[in-house]
Amino acid sequence: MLTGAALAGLAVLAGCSGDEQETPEEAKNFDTLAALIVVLFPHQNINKSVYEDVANLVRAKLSSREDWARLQEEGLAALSAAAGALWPSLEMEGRIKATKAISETRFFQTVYSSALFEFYSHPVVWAHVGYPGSSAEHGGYINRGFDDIDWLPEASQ
Amino acid sequence: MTVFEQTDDSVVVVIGSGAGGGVLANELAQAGVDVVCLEAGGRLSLSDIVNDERVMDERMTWHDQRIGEGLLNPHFPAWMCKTVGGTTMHWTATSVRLAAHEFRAKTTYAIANSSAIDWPLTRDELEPFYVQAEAKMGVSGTNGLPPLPMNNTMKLLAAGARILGYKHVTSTGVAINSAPYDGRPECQQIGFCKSGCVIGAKWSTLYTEIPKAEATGHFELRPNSMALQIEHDEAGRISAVVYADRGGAIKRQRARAVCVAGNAIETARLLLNSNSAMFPDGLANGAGQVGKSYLKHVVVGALGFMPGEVHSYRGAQQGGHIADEQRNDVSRGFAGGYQIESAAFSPLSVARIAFGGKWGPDLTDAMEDYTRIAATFITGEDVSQSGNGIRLHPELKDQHGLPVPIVHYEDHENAGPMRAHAANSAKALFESLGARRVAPFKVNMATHNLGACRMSAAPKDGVCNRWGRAHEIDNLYISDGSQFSSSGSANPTLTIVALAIRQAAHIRAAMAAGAL
Repeated sequence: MLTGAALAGLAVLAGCSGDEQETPEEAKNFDTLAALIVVLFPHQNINKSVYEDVANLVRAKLSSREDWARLQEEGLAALSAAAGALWPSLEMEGRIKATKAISETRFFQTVYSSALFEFYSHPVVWAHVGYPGSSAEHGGYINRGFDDIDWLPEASQ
Repeated sequence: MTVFEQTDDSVVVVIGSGAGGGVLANELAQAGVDVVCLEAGGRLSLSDIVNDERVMDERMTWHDQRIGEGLLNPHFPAWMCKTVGGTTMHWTATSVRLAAHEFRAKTTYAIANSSAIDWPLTRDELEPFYVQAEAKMGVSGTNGLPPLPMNNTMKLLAAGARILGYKHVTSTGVAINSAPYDGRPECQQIGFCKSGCVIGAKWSTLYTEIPKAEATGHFELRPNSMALQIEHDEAGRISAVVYADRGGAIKRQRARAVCVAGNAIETARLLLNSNSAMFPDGLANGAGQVGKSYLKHVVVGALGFMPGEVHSYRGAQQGGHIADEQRNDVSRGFAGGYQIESAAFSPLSVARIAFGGKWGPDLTDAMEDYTRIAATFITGEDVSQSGNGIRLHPELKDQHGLPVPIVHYEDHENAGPMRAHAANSAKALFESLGARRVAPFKVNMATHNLGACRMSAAPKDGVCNRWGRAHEIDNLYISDGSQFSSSGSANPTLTIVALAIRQAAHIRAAMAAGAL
């Protein structure tokens, strides 16, 4: 779980308005959002902090929408309703099942498309899957393996 | 810098600065014709281009509201650009000529439930302009330029093609410099072609046609200028273009002739929005053909999960193609043909485009294999249907107060069998090299937007004649892919450029003859 200090730091990162402290409710919702993103993109060996980064970016983006508060409230309630218990209290298997059950909702689709965009743009995720990103500053790949494939069958001629 | 008066009615106004508009404007300016080019987007310089898909998407993509219907993404039906250079900034530079039979879609395919027509010109007639277009763009394999060096994906496709017995496998036909050409450098295999070429090795009008036109003193580019309406006089001849400038102020540029090259959707939309008492259904729309018979391509993408490393992000994003399936061979179960092209996807593109909607291990298992993914992108002949097209939303307006376009697209019954065949070809190709899995996918947005203001021999069948000149209005031209009478199987830009060069010659001749 996040520490209080980390949460306060993240709240600043997320651009929470003014000096307002994050309420316990908001902190809980944030934890749930981060846990939901783990369910969406369950890579082994990607640090939890990456999922929290992404949750922050998603929350920052979505909280500018007028309907976000209501969408989130309804979405999290639907998750728990589908789970038959508080969703965060479930083990992974139960979380996945409940998430599947709400995957057609606007809440899910909104979080999914925003989280997908942020997650697979994250530098740590890129490094994890082996994508180096920008190459122009390294002179492209003309001398760095653009044609280095070495396992293809030789041409027979 | 040349500046023309708004009241100067001797200028030709070209709307759009991409493959159609940018080329046409330069060709006219080179011949001494005064041109004002209105471009809705801003002007980037090479230093504004970075290897960052998200940043470049914001800088280049047309994000004004549009509505997709049928098979199209409801919020983003088409991926086009709003920037000087238009879609030549975003394109992947595959430059293949249409085949002779593809100019005769109606005759060749004789297909039911279609509004197909033959082009009112032949491949032979267009041939000399293809040659000029290839010289202008520096297409690999022409004009002394070698084939583009094959990157890993293209080597892989070539190896699979050999096993399958395909013969026409090539990295010629790419408008990316395979050697220094026309003052632009050789490709450094950077990748990110779709985000604009950082070094200008990929042909785009931004740093070729536009500055060349400016150097003539006969050309003025007005970026951030959104054409709102084309006006006509009492005789029904075009007289001016009304546009919104950078600050939103409404301007009116008088014109001797107007050439519209807004990329199918915006071209049709502008003609429809230019309705008047004399032309109540929009300009050049007496036959009811504006916005009709819109075409894209039948598109299949496929990812192969290969036994070895591919690193498809290294190098040109589309570095060649296999042309064997371009032929028309109804024994395959469908009319028309398709091209198998190399492709490359960033992790974000794999997740959003190839695996759109997937999550959990369905997605992450694939992403864990990212560096071993090979990709192909297959484009095939679309079949004209009058119901596919562009119309105006009855209520929704954009930031300029213009009705928002609705783009409607459904598959023709020919598409299913073609798509299945193409997916099988991709599967066979990847599996011949030991792919553990092949994942085909659909693409529900159009990057090739064609037809919708098509050229036709008979005025009742289209919007413009064999020169792109509107059937109904002598000094109105269609100058982009909207002219296409049928889609063909090949990527359209080379043909758009050839048509623009040809149209410029026609306009100069018409002017010289006092007919324009």
